[in-house]
Amino acid sequence: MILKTFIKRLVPRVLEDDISLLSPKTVVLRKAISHSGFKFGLLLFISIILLGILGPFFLDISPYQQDLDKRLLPPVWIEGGSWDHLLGTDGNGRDYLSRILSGTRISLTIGIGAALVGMVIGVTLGVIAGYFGGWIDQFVNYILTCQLALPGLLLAMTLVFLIGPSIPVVIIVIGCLHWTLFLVVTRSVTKRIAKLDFVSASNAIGATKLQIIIQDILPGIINQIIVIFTLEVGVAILAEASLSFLGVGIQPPTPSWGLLIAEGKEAIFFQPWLIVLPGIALFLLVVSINMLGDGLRDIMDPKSKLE
Amino acid sequence: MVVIAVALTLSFITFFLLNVAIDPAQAVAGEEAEALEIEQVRQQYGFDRPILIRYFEWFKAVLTGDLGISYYWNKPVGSLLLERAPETITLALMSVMVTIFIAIPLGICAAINPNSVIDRMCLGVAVSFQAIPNFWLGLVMIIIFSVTFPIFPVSGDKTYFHFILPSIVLGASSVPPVMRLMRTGLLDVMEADYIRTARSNGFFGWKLILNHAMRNALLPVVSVLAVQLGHKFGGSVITESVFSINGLGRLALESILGADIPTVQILVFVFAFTFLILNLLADILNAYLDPRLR
Amino acid sequence: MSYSLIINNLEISVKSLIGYKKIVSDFNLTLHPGRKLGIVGESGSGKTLSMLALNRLLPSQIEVTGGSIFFNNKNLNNMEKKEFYREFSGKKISMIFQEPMTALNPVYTIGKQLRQAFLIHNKGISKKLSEERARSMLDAVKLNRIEERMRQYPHQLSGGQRQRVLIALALINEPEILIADEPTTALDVTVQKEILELINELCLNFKMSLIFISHDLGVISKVSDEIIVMKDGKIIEEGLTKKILKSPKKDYTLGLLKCLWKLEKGNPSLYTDKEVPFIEVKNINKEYQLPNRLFSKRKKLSAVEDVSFSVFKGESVAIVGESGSGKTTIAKIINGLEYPDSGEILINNCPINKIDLFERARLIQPIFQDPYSTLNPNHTIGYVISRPLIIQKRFSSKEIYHNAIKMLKLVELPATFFYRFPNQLSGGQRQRVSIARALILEPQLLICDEPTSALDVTIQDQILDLLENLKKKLSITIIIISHDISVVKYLSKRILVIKDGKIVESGFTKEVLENPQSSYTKELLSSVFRIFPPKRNFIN
Repeated sequence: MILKTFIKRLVPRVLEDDISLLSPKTVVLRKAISHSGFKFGLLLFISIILLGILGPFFLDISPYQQDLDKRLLPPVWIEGGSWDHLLGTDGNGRDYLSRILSGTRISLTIGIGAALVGMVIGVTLGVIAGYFGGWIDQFVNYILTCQLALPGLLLAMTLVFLIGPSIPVVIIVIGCLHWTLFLVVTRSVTKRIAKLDFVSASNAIGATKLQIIIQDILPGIINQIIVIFTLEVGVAILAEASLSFLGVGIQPPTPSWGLLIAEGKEAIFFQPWLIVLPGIALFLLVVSINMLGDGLRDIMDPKSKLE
Repeated sequence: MVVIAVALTLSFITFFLLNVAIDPAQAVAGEEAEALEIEQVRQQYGFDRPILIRYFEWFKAVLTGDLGISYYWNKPVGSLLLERAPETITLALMSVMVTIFIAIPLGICAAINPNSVIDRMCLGVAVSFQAIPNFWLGLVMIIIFSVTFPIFPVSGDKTYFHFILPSIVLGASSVPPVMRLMRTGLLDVMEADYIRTARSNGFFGWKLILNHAMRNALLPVVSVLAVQLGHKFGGSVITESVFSINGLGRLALESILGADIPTVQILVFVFAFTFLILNLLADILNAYLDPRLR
Repeated sequence: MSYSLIINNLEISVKSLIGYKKIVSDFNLTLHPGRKLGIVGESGSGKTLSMLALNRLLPSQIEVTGGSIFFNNKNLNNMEKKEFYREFSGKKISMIFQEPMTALNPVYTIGKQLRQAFLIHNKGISKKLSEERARSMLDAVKLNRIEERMRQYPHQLSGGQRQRVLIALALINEPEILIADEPTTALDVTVQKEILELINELCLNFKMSLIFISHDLGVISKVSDEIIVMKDGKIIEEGLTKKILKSPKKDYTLGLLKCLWKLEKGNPSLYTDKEVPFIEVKNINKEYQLPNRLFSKRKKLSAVEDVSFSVFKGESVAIVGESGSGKTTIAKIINGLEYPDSGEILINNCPINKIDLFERARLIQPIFQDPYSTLNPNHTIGYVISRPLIIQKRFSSKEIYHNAIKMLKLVELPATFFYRFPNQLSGGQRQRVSIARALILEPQLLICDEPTSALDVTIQDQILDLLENLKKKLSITIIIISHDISVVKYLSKRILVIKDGKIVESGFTKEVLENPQSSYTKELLSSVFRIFPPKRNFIN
């Protein structure tokens, strides 16, 4: 009963003029519930996470356990496959399903970690540049141009290779090379907010610069930060996969999806599923994250209306 | 001016990073070299001197056209670049063509009929292309078009025909951002006051879009295309290694794996400089298109 | 040629999830050749939408859902889209809009835009002929240096010049009807007067009829023979302009007029304390650097030049000037939000930059123009009002709450607004909240920067009343900044007129208005369209 009234409260049945009586949070919530792309992305994302984190507990085969007698077994739906190895085995006879599932965790860890690193760098620089302006802004702009001009992937490859590949190194390197979007957006939004009258009003009531940044500016940019964060998680996951694919990211035998595809490349002519399957996993994860991000963008945009 | 300043900074940063992160003497001498041998190399090549002095020497040499000698290939870096550059330039230009011919028409179609079936399809294409890793798309294309249906060659760079699959793969990654920008740009412009003015003067349909909306909507697209073309050079690493094209990207990968510092240094610098020049060109083109920027 | 435009029971609705919601209904209008019709109403009254509907320019979610529009017995509502654009848009009916700054395409020259607009209805005409036509139109709207204008881009023209180009654009195909949608609202008063005169003259020369939309009865009275008064999507009253201005039949129209009459009467009850100089401004200067362009040198703009004046305790002083005159910069400098390049400001004989932030906050508080950006959308009204006290860190949370509630009452808002968010409030309510925020620290000086210019006339009236009452109740000093002389007259004892950053005239309001000395003040005063109350007084 309570649930029913709760759902009723959220269902979008309000008219244009009534929306003006809702609090900002309710509006966002109602938009979220009526946004199909967002809902689909969220559902997909949650199921991938559940599979990736809980899945390995239900499989009694370790992703590292080799069985040289059962090398390159095809998945169950191709002739010669068996139910013991649902998605077949790789060149060393390791269970492919188990390897793909445990790859989820690595992708997510690196994706979220790297996006966090990028967020800290980008948002800090962006807010500072946008709020203070002047030569600080020009200096940050200069750093931004430098960063944009650098060939990111190439530099990441070099750095990871030279420092020595490990998960923390990959996270930091990818994070340090993916903060430009955070910077550009937070800077422009901060600039816009800093010009508004309520910031002048805060100045006039004696608020300090730090108080203004935290209480007036950050609440205004948090929505955009969440959206970019989500999208950057997807970008970082792809970057990790590329590095691992080229052999300068996660090292074997850790089951990173990029690495699985690189290993499968040897068997491209005869066992294409070794390439196709981890690619699909990667695709689904990134698609779900991007749909979440796009949905969040629509939901949090004050200009978009309830449909 | 900014371009030169940024280029200088970048050359220094890459030089510094590469010379601090790794012991160059060790790299030249090889992994199994003994301590004594390494020390010898260090003195012979002058690696024992302070990094700033070495940077200035390197920079002076680069300015006079001496790009150094690759440890790994035992060749002057300059001739290596010249050898490999044409492949990458071909690939980058062809892939940008692919992007332009797919993304811009799709973006326009989506903007003309917002929320229609075409629009939703375009959005779907954008979302999924953004999620497809480049190297995987390359491999899947090989599986489909070279292995299952042998239409295109698997790899190599002998004829332009060899470049078709790689260009599509490399170009596909830029389709989503360019298409989205074209769509939102055109949608925004169509809401603008001056479009309303044009409508009230009797413009409608294609004439309205071509005469009044297109030029404004293209402004941001030009900048983004320049950025994307710049990324193509840096991003060619993956595509070139998947399709075994002997271009700059593959050279970069091989040099990195061979710890060949002089080559990597120059490559990073060349890619960055190309990017800066392309952006400058885009700025000039934008100033031509938009009188307010002049 | 004789024709007529008849609109019958027009109904416009906005599409939403559950169906349609009417926003304009029962809109009737008859227009004969050579007539000039004014439509007046506050924002949201549907005056613009009904004219956009006539021109088929409605935004995508809004549709015509009933009624008919006849032009010479041809029903425009049933007409094919293409036919309408080909036969009517720009050719029979033309429209000019409110925002001259954005209504021209920024990437094409004036000449090209005019030529294209001519070509669209006259296919196959030579370039020379169309250029000739464009030139003659620029001449008709009285722009000077026509050859140069033809080659210029919109951003190189001033607001008034752009509006002239837009009028040329609208008239280039000699339409029968010109619809002007608040064409002068975004312009300065002196420019507004010129544009209105131009429109009047062109209507005669081109034998057009005119539909003029405005929120300002003063403007409407200058350009129309008949008036339609609209409110909430309905026509409230219609009739001859003279009659309506003298003896309106409906209460709403009377209310609108009363606001104007009251401003015209001025305010007799302005009083002051003993004249102790409270704030002294001495020779302040301020320059701004204009942003860099790609191929041009950096320019400096002098916003305030050698301005000095003083304000006495309990006094109200007005600073009047057109946009770009530097009046807002002066306000920000007095408030300590900007620093002058030279000169100083003394408050109670103490330089303002020596006063610490908290102390300054208890002395001076600002009220801003735009009710939509003056409140942080992420904070509740309660937080917004109590934040000044929270930042001062000297009050218990109970004190703060009681004070905030007291303030809500003071500005005549219900206490339940405490938990609301700014987006749930109307413009007038927001402006009340910002007054409450400014007053909670009990400051001695209130700087009001165009406090009412973004509001509808009736709301404007209420806010001015509120400020007046507060001034009496709290004996507070007020500096009011405005472009609108009538607002100033109502609220201030002394007046400073500034132009291009310099004070051109100052003195007691009454004297300045009745006997202006500088030519600029005279020009300003003659540009204001006043509506005098009739002899028989409605106010009391």
